[in-house]
Amino acid sequence: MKNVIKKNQKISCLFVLMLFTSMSAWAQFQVKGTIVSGIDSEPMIGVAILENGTNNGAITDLTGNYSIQVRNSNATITVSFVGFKSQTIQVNGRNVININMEEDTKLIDEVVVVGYGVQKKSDITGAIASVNGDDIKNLSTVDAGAALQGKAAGIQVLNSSGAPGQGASIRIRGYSSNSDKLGPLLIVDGLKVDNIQYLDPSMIASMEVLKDAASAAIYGAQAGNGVVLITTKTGNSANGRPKITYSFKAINQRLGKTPEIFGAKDWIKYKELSGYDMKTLCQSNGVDYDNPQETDWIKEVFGDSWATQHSVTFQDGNDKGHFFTSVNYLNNDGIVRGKKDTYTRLTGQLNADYQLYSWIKVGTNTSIEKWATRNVTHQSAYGSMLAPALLLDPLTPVYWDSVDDFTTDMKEQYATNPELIRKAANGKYYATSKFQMDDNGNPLLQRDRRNAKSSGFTVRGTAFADLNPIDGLVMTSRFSYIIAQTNNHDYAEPYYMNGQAKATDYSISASANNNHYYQWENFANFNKTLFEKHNIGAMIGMSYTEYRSDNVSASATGTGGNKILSGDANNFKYLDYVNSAETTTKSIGNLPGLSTSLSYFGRFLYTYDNRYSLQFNYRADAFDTSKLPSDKRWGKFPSVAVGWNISNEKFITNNISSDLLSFLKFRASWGRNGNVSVLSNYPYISPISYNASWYQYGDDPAQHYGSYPSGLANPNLKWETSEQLDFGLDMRFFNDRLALSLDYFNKDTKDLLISTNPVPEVYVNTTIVNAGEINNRGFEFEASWKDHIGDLKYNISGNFSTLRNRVTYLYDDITRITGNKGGVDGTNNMVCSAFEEGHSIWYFRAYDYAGVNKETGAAQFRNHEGKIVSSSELSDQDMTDIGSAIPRFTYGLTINLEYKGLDFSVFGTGVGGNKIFNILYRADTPMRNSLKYYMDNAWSETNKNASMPAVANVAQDRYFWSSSASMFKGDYFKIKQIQLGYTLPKTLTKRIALKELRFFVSLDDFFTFSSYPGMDPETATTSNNGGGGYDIGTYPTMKKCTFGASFAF
Amino acid sequence: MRKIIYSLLGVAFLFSACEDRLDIEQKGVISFDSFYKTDDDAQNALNNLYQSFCLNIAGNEGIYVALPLLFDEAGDDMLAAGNMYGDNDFGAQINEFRYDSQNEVIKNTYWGLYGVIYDCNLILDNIEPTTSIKKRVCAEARTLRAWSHMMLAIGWDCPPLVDHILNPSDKPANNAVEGGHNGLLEWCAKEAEAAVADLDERESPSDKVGASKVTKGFALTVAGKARLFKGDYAGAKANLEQVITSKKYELVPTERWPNLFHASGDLCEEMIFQANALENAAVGDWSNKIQRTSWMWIQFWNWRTDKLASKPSFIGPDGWGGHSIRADFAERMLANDGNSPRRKATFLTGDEFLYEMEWNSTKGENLTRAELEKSPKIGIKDPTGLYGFAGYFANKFVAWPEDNEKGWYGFKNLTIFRYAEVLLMYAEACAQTSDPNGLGLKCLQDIQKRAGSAHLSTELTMQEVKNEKSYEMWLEAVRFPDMVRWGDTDGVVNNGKNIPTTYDAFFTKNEPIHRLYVETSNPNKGQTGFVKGKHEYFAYPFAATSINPNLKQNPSGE
Repeated sequence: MKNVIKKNQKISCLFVLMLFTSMSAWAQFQVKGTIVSGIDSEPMIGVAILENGTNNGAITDLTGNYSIQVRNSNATITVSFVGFKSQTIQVNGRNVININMEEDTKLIDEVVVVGYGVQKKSDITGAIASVNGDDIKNLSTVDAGAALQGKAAGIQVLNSSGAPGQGASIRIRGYSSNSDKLGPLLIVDGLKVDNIQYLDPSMIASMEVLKDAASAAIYGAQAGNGVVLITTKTGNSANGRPKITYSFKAINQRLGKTPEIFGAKDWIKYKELSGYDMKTLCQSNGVDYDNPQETDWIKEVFGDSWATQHSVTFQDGNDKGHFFTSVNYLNNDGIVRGKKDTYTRLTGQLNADYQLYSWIKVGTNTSIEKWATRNVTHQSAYGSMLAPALLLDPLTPVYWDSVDDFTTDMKEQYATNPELIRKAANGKYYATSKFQMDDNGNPLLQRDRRNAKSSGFTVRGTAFADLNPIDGLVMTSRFSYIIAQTNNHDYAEPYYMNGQAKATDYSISASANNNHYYQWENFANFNKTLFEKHNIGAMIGMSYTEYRSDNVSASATGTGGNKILSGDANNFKYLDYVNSAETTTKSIGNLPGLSTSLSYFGRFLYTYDNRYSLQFNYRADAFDTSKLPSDKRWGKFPSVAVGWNISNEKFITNNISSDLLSFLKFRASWGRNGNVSVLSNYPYISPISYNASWYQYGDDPAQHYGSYPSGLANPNLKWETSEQLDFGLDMRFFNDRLALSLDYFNKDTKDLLISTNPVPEVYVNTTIVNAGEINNRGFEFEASWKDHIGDLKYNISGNFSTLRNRVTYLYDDITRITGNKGGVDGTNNMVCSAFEEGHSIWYFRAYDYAGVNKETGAAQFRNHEGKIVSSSELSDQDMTDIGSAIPRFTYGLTINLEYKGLDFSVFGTGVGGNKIFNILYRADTPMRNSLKYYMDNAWSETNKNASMPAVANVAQDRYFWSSSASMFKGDYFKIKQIQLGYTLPKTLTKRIALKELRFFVSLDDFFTFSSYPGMDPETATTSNNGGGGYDIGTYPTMKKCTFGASFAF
Repeated sequence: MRKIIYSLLGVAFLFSACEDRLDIEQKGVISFDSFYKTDDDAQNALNNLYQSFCLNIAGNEGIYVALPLLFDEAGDDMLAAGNMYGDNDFGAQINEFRYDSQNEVIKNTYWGLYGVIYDCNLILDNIEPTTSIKKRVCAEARTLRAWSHMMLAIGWDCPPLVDHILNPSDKPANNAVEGGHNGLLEWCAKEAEAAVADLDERESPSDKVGASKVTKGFALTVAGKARLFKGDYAGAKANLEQVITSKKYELVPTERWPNLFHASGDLCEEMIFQANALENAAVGDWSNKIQRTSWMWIQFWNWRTDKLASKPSFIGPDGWGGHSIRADFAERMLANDGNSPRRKATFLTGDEFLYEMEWNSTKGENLTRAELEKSPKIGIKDPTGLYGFAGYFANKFVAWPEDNEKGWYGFKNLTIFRYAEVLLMYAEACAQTSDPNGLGLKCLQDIQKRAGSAHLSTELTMQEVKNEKSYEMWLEAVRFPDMVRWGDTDGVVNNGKNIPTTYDAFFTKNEPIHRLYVETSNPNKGQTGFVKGKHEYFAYPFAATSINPNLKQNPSGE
């Protein structure tokens, strides 16, 4: 949006210029020359040359040449071009003057996008983090959300899965809801979107994060978790010429951090320490005890893979309009061997605007996305592909050659249902553990038996008209839309590995989802400076949105393991070929949805003398009756903010040189926002769910339908609201070389929607009430230093933010809400996530491990009275807060160096203070593989100062594994990128008709510093808010080596 | 000028919007006020009550059924078992009397019973019994409400009486009925009796519909049991005699006794009421179907088959070994019954387990006893043994292949009352009062004869009834309440101590032939076992007492 102001300047410059060129008849001394850009030494077209004190002027032609007749040889000329520093030059009798234009990087002209408008950065009163397109252009991530990671303080990006095509989630200033509706409002070019994964970072001009409530208040009920505003690129010319660029990346991907689990011999040793007679067990399972064959399941599962990316951009711009179009193709095959984890995406972006008359401008931004993805299962206890990669013992071979190798169990199955025992593509049978019968079996079978595919097509666009009837007033009408279509297909066959890893039925399913969304917004901005010192900015507007979804799904299952299709070949695996057998159960679904909202909003900004700013925002929001009843649907969200530009005060300007202190500003704001996404499906009423239940009488299986009230009605429901206070200080020193920014925020969220139980005698199901409050507060610190040493340009920037998260109130009738028993469904660990006053939200509630008894090697625990006890003395009431998955601080560091054609950048980010609870070990299935940590640190007669108990002591102790002994520090620092680039000198590239050619090589996510013994600490966590922080096998972040090149024509 | 005009036209749009576009009708529901009106509505609401009964009482917990588990685990005839100490602890806490008010089985049972009461009250508050159908519907709801309160009284002494829909903010108290525990039982009996007139009667012993819903026979059984528990033996006798003389129920023949606890016994002549769950292929298994049955209970309640050398052929799914039979009880029953079909269908001795039972691995090989003794294909292979097993192998509820048609879960009805319990309760009521026509003794003998027991009572005494009931009704959720009301709780004071594990010396000690032996352990150093005056009634769930100051905690939860 920087371009808006630049553009206006450009228009006036050219206008003046045209006047001048016609009046140069009487000149006497000719000056000519070439004007080139200091950035790339390219000739510049359309640079204005003006003889000082006259109306005499000229502009450069297509080759950057100019010629001007000045009055005499001592004349002075001024050359100017938008975005470059103007230069005043004495002719001094020279006939040829070649000029090098320098880019103007003066910060004061920078504008930032705020809701429904832009503001000068110097006028900003709220806490807005601005990430420039240049900051993220060379990242290897293909997800705009992930690109924000580590780039600004107060923003946490959660990559809860490293799988291809998995979008990152964003948390702004903490966690302010007990629900999982914690993501910020995402706005791209004015359009509200539900994800920004489709947006390649290379298409982004800027990302603004509205962190404080006052800035976000203009988005009212949807802005309680902050707002991310993204502006895609508008077309620009390269020194007056169209610009065509092509770039590609080839990315080699492999597993980053390897988990520290047992190899064959160590595993045997560990099980012996656990009390098993491994000699006998090995013997009976056909394993050579002394020289066991070893399978490294991690290596079997993960391998190298390649991702490729191509991007072509065409752009141009002039005083009448701009054009930007880009096509981006991505093909990513993840690091799980085979083609079951893939993501392909083809996106096209088309941005254009045109000034029809001086008072009307129209434009459109359109993005077209086509994607397809396949995923392996993870983050679950059953049917997971990644859990067995970590858990299957290393003695089990990958494949078996013959039926004789089978487990007894499989032999029994094979005898009756041979088709249940599946063969791999190499013709061998998938092997599974003989030591551990109750598990997910062979991870490769878990991978191969799945065939789920998703794909979709989405068009997102906006079209707008800006009317400019009088000076300072711009009226905008903007229509934005999303048309999305998604298709899912799945087919699965029965299989058998063991009592748990099996499926008895054939199944097939398909679904088609069509969604249409539009928003129509009309708003008017008025900006005017009155009597020199009084700046007024005002905005008023309205918005109406409508979202329609229509989803059709169908599936069929072969009851009792019967086949469901009319043929077995692959070309029959579609719903059309489902047979009509009695044993084939079919099900269908369709429920069109509609939701709407209406909002009015306004803003008033007043600045006096560039010193004092005052800003008010106000928004009134109403949502449809599926969220709140019509008499309670309007929510009102005010905010106020003040700014004091101290560096413009006389006592500063008179006393401190601007070379030392160039800028100092204090900001303070207060505002209120809502979170409406927690409400859905008419939660405030309880009509009759008609014919939603059934019973069968006698031995007739026919269903007799029944009906019941859908719940206990709560007509007083309202949305969650947050109030936030923010204080900030922006400083720049040494001619803007050093910039510092400091913020403190305190955010209270109240009226959390809590699902609660009334007393059971009243009602045994849950009902929803507004109860509960959360406080988030913290400091945010950003610093950057920018300078050069000779030809070496460098800049260093860093950010650091802290977060303190507390539940400050919970409903009188509830002391604690517990969720996610065992962390993930299907585990039998006793840990749970709990929500309780005085604690971090959804903390880990488990037993408090208090170290080893040095004499006996037994595990010790602290009970609720603070006494040290053994595990058999523990009971439910001894469970306590052992930690939280929420980081207490997050930070990022970026270093950029440039020397002649070489550029080098390092970017790292990290978190600290968070915990990971590893739930992979199960006390009732102790023959799984597990973390070597528990043997390496185990107590023994020779290691009495150990941190972990004697192995035998806890091998089958469920309390121990349900204690803080299973919890690890989640701190990590990751070097997200190290990139080295080289831009060939122009003199060389010109010869091959290229404007620019840059090669680069980059290491992404390559180095991770962490004490976590599991896989990647960044992704080793389940993602949902009520149960984050559990590691049960997650697709890790891939470490990448990227080779790329970009060509400009 | 043009720009001003066009711009003003633009302004005209600016604030034009219709708020009525925000009013969107909810799909798939009808208003509360339009329901509970017609006969069809009444029957429809009743169908929902039966679903509620299935979900709240017969299922919904996934790996166990809370109500029978709660009353079984506290008995003096079983052991909580599993893979090891701490496994299946929700049940072991009750078995070893080390539970507190947060025990999930206690909570789930309590929640389930009040869940049924809520759905009963929806009918009774909203439907006027003005037509014959509405009268019957209300009577069925009334009976189920009485049964739920009776089970609450048996489990918790004086739980709140809830005879109408309460306000969300209500905090009901216990002792709401005059007479406390007995007063509540009296209320249950009267309610059930009052419903009898409007209820259908089971048409005949072969009427399966009549075994899947509330009938006159069920209401009278509820009334009889409530009276028996409050010590009104004459009243109980009167109620139960009507069930017997109705001739709508019969004991199944001896050879079908084992089937009573499996799918093939569902809705048979002996069933008075079962929560019905039938396979319907048109309904997906996860569409609220597996939630209304024992679901994975067949695995939880089954032996730990992965620790055996091979799977016994009579077993359907693999198991997690959640329960076993106590050795002292097994020996008593063995002495009483001998090798009766009932005894063999209740548990196997070690020898029967090893050599009479058919193993999949040796199936069809016709091995001799001597060959079997040396075969590595049978026995308890795992060196950790079978935890909680005392040398006997309970098989009454171990799921058969017929119960396991779905692979690892099945659809099997939960029995609420079977006729044998009626006969035994009647015999008890007679033993406590008089047995003028000899019907009481006959009832007792009918049970014994049918069991094929070696013992036949010649006299109707309380001891004879007590013994017989403990054998016939093993693990049918009646033993612990009987122990409490009879004061026979000495058998559980040492629960949680000396927990047995059964090993096979053939595998653990490399002995040449199979030999089962039991070792005991004391994994829990804390307080376990039944304490008189404390454990007669279960704790009120913490989740209920913590938000209700009017609900007074029982001693066991303090």
